[in-house]
Amino acid sequence: MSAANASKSILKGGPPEKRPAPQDDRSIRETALYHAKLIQEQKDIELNILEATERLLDFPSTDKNPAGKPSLEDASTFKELLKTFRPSDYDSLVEERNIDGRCGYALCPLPNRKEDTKAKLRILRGNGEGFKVVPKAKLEQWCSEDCARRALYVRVQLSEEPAWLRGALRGVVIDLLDEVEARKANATAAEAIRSSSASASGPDKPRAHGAGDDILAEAMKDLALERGDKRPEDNPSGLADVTVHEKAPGSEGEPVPPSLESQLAHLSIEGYQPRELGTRRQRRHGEEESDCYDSSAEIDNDYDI
Amino acid sequence: MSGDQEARQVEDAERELTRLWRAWRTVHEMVHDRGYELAEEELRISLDDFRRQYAGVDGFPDRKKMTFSARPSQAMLEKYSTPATPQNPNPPPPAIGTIWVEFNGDSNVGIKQMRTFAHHIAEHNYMTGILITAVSITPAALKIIPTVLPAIMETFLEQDLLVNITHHELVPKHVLLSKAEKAALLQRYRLKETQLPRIQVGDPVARYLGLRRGQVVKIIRKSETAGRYASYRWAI
Repeated sequence: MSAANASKSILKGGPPEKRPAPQDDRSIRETALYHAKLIQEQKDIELNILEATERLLDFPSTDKNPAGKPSLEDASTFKELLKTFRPSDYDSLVEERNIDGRCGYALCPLPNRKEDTKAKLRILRGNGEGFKVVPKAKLEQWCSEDCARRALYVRVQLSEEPAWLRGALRGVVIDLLDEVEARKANATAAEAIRSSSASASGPDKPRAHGAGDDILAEAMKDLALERGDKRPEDNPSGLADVTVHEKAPGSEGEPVPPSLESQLAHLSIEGYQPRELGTRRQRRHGEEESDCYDSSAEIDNDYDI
Repeated sequence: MSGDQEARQVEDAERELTRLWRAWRTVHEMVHDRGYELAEEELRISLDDFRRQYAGVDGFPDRKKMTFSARPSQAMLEKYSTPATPQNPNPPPPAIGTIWVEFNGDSNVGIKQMRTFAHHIAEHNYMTGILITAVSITPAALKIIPTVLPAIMETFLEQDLLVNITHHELVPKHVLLSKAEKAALLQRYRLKETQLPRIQVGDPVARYLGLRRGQVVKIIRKSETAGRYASYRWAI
């Protein structure tokens, strides 16, 4: 085959070269656009992650809520913002918060722990015998052991896969450690109440009941907040928040003078106005009176007999 | 004992001051080599003058004071301008303007510091900003750089500027070509720009010259046979 090709003169020219049809051009363009869009999406998501990191740097919004009981709004924003994060993004968030002098857990208002040394490594006694050499930066990430647990609980739920490869983000649900523990406590408390009510006169009934009540009250409060009810402490002055909506004159149309019809409205029965009601009633009243009179007359007549 | 400590502190301060003086000189040379206008005495500041101007009361250099700005020279503006063509008789003005240089001595440089720097550049209408830090910047903070375009932020480490790499004998001379020169080069060799050899914009010399994507540098080497040998690189 190759020999045959080689023997052919180059001047003769092979088969005419295929020119790309215009349709090919379009498909090439579409492919290029497709890939360009993918790259653009990736860039957008990376920008989102950067913006989310910057927002989470200034979290929580108030210093009142401790890390264990974040305000519902902060907690839901935190969970929403973390959806596109990868563990590495989360680590850089922690690092940025530490640089800013805050605890690495974004819902904690406390400053991070400071080791009183310039050394880069610290030697800690391990659990068994022997020592562990730990970088100082690792020890300074959190304000306490609890926050470390909380933050790492969130970290293990993040997906290693970049957000632009994951597809739909709706399925991603991130739980906070405190929520999960509260849920567990709720379940056990509910069980305790059930068992205590079943054995009506248990010796430990009052205590279990009390604890359950507290948790239930908390849960109800959260529920109320979710429904949009206001907490009483939102209004420290005790004044009702009243907003007056003035109605513009003329917006309701011309006022109508009350008619005679409506004066009889008290007589209507579910919108039905009985006709000649008054007259019939009077007539019946008269009839009754005459009946009475008649019957007494009859009775009298009987006595007469 | 305290005298010993004091002596050590003075020594530390002197070492730090010398380090920063060298970085200061290198960054001035860099800005000058790019084509910005700088006075001769700024360019060749002596250690004593530097100490007088920028040392704090404790002898350590005061990085807050170490800032300067420079305007592009006429030659640089011409180099960056787009030549007018029949299709485009009114080309846009050259994308080059005043440069701002700032030193940062924080022990950690994160998003907050970079945002402050970006804000300062935007506020004063600088086209380019150079931030020289004592420690490396966090990866998250570096992601801010593409978000502030068309303003250009460049970051350098102090330790990378202690010597001027372009003065090393193994580093050939790099000359940036203007757009007209680039067009002439491609015309002369009948090339498309994609057919040129390339240089990364992250290359140390490319970073020194502040190269942007699409620019072409001429690299002039010594040659035993020809005396000089020029090659061209397309920045990517």
